[in-house]
Amino acid sequence: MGGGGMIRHLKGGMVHLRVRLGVVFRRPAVLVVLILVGLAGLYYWPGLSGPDGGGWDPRGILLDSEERAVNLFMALLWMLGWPVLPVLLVSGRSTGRPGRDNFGLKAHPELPVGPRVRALVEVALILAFALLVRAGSLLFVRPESWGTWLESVFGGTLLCLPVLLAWALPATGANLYWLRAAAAGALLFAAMKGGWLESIGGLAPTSLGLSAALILVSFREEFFARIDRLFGRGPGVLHRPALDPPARLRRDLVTQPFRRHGLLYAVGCAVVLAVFVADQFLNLKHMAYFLTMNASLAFLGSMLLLKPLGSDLLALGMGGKKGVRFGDFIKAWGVLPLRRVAILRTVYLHGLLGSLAIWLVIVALVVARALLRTGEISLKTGNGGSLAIFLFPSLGLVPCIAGLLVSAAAGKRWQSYMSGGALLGYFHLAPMSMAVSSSFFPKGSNGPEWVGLGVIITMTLVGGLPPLALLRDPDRSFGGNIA
Amino acid sequence: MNDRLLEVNNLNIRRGAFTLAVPDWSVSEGEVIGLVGPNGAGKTTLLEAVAGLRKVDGGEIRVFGKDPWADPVTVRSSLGFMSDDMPVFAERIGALLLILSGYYPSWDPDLVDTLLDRFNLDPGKKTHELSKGQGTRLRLLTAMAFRPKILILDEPATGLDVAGRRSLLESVLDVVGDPGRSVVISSHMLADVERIADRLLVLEGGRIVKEGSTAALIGERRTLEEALVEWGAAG
Repeated sequence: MGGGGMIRHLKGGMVHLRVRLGVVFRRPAVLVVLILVGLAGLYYWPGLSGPDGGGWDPRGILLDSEERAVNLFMALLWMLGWPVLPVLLVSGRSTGRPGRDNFGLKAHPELPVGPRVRALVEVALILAFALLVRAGSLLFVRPESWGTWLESVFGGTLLCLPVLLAWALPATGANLYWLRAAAAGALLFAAMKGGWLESIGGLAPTSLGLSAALILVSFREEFFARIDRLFGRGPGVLHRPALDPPARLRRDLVTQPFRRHGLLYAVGCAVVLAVFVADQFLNLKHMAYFLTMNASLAFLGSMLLLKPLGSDLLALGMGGKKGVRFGDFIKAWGVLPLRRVAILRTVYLHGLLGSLAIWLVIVALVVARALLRTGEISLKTGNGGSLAIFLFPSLGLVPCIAGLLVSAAAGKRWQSYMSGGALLGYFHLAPMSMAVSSSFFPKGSNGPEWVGLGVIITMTLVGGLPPLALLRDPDRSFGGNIA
Repeated sequence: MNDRLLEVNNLNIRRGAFTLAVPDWSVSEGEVIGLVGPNGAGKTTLLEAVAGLRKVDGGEIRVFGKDPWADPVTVRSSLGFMSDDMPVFAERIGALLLILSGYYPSWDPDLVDTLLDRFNLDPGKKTHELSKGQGTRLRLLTAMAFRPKILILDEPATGLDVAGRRSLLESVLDVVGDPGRSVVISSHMLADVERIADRLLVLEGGRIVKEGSTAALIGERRTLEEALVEWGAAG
């Protein structure tokens, strides 16, 4: 980059910064939330100082007590959430094309600023905010030693840097954006658990190395293209044997998700297995196991369910408008020599089989955990509580999930809302109805359980039935246009 | 007259207050049909119905003697459809072609290579990274890659630069150079349509305004644009 180019980029960066700050002061709600985030940062500074020094100590986050599990949760919340709040809040009026650009980066695309400069400005802005907050803490807590305080400032900044980069750097898709942020947080925690972040000497190379890796991954298109050119690798085979289209569709239902995303599923399964094995050897506390296993299963489940026939259900590439649109799936598949209803039935079947597979994995994990701990095959937790009351009613989620997938694929908004609402209802309405109804029944009565079961059946019907209309032969139902 | 690949009889499609009515229209082997008319004339509706993507309310459409809505497997195995706002899978181009090839017994890998070169498309590139013009070229490629007997193009020149339009026209002429295949093209690029279409179907407000050979309808002393203005079908 020449001197002129550098100055141009710097000027562009300054304009970007000014626009960002302008947004903060023009939108009172943004300012209020930023002040709240700043106030929270006065206490939850992710530095090296202990809680008594006005921040939490990453060295204290070990999974050997319930209290520490809560600390882990707080750390996750703040390390991943604290930096992203300002990034999202000052993202400006235009926040990029959903499904393609990340939330902050393409704010004010009219500015003549490249992605790298934008990312650097984002990071500089948030780091400046963080340092300002840290300086503000001096008004409330007088440090015992200036050396320790400065070490905490430097350490906290270093700890934030990879997470900030993960949120601010460009991403070619929403998947990469979220995965990258999660991976940055997870790697930092792994380093913390390994004891690498206990001093600046360990923290600095870890943080800077992780930041460099994030930058490399974020611009991986160029990086991998360069590697490909170096080894003269071509694009690969562009065709496969054709079958009768309906037979090909049936075969693709089973083979394509694994052929195209097998590595991703293998990673998801490995993560689930790793959490399970870690629980056996480290004897994790219930809350820590529950949180990490749920997160791993949610990751695996969403990857599996959202890719019927190996294609993204909601993130199709080139609509007339960019981004996620209900019904793009059927429009993209609809030009193939296939009946519309056959495609939708395939998506529904994918939803049924996928969610049932996840349910069976959960049951298998519960049984295996009980077997290893008590020597019995049962659906009980470590402290003897039965999980059957949660597991069997949750089978009702299966048709709701399949319904949600097929409604989204067909572009039927209301069916999607009903199935999605029913899924939420499972987790909120059912327990709430049991809690509320318990005050109307005598103690020891099964009434609340029956009420809960009634709500669950209602949710299954509300979420699972309407999408079934999409699976009927269109010649015997109204509508059904693909275009 | 050659064999008819496509026949439309007393077609009626209602879409809210709009009604498309096409009493009689057909496409024979080896013909290039230009479908023109102002926005909202019913061009896209007609093409979607022909491709079996839209149900008709009355009358009938026969493609290769089959109803495209009732038998899309047979019809779309030999009918290529391309529209400028058609979503395409978010994949690398190579992966997209791999998926599609499994559904067409007539998929031609050599033609795909030729078209990738002609349209200057990189198989390693992801579809969501393509420009509008590149996206149009990719849609064209996927519609032509299995050597369909009928190629339906709805606004194929959207976003194309001069070189892209030339490639498009060359490709269309290549298709009809192969006897037995036909093209129906709807476009607002009237000069292109005038250049390649043997016959015209002019729609306005869901009704046929003119139908016949391009040369006979336009005449020698005016352009298609001037003719449309005269017929009141210029929008």
